[in-house]
Amino acid sequence: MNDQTLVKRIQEGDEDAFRTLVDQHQEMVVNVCNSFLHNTDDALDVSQDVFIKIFESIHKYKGQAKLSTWIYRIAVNHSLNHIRSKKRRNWLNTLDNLFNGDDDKPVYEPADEGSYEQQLEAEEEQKVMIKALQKLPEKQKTALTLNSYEEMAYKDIAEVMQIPVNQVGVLITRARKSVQQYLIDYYKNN
Amino acid sequence: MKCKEIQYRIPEYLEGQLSENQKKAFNRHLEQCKDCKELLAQVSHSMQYLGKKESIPYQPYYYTRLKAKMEKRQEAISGAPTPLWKRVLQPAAYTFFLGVGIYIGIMLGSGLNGSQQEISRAEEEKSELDAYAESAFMNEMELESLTSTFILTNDTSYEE
Repeated sequence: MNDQTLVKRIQEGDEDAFRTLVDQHQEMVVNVCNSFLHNTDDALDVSQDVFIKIFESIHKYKGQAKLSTWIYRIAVNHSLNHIRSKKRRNWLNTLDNLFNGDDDKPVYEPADEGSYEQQLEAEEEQKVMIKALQKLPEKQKTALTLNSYEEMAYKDIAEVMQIPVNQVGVLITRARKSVQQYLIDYYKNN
Repeated sequence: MKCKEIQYRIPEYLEGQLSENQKKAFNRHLEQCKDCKELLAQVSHSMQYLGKKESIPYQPYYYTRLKAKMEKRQEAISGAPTPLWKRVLQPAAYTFFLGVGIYIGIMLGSGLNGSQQEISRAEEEKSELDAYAESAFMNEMELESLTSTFILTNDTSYEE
């Protein structure tokens, strides 16, 4: 079943068609969310909201963009919204972490078997990288995340972000330099 | 180049944006400065973590959980309609209890005023009694002084 037929059937209220769409795009949506949120539980939760949004607004999809690009766009927007609302709740989290410890561990675990110290170092570096990414402006963060974590080509990023391709390159270079500057400041002070 | 400039130029160095001359000067400094060399190595090593993540595999019960969430959301949006008697009786009951509360409050307040009047009346009575007691005491003092004078006179005569 091609994308157009699938969308048409969902628009007509076919639940099986929606299930097919979820099954086909589940992994992609969950992992895009995880690339932005760096937390498995949050990624699973937000990805479900993405599919609810898709279900509710499927009648708006006119087929101008590829279905996967349209889904990517919704996933990116939902992830960024989640980050924004999390920032607003940040002062509460700070209090919570103060009393209960920081449970917001990064999802990356080193694959190769190294010593405990090496694992700790890797986790620490991963944490610093996530913090550096969180400091980036939204457009830079989106372009860099899609490029580095989703390994998307500039052309595809441009379609998802609805910006010219050359602007993608500029955003990614700026983002990488900002991340490096954050790391320099971090290592100078630690 | 000095350390401060080197540290400023590290991102450009890593992104390959330095000119040949700048690159040469940069490398010359690194040969002499251990701190800058270490910092560059650290930043360069950390950059390897950009894009590294654990991929979340296909979730077998994903659709079931999604469906449950959608139904829950639908229920929350539509909600069960509240019966008419509840919509009318509930505000009426709240108004009634609020009125009773205000009435009790007023009654208690006026009761307090009454007891204050009683207190002031009692205080007046007490002050009258105090005045009487004081005058009685003064009279006793007078009697006492007369008696003591009498005894004192008697005693003197006895001694004599």
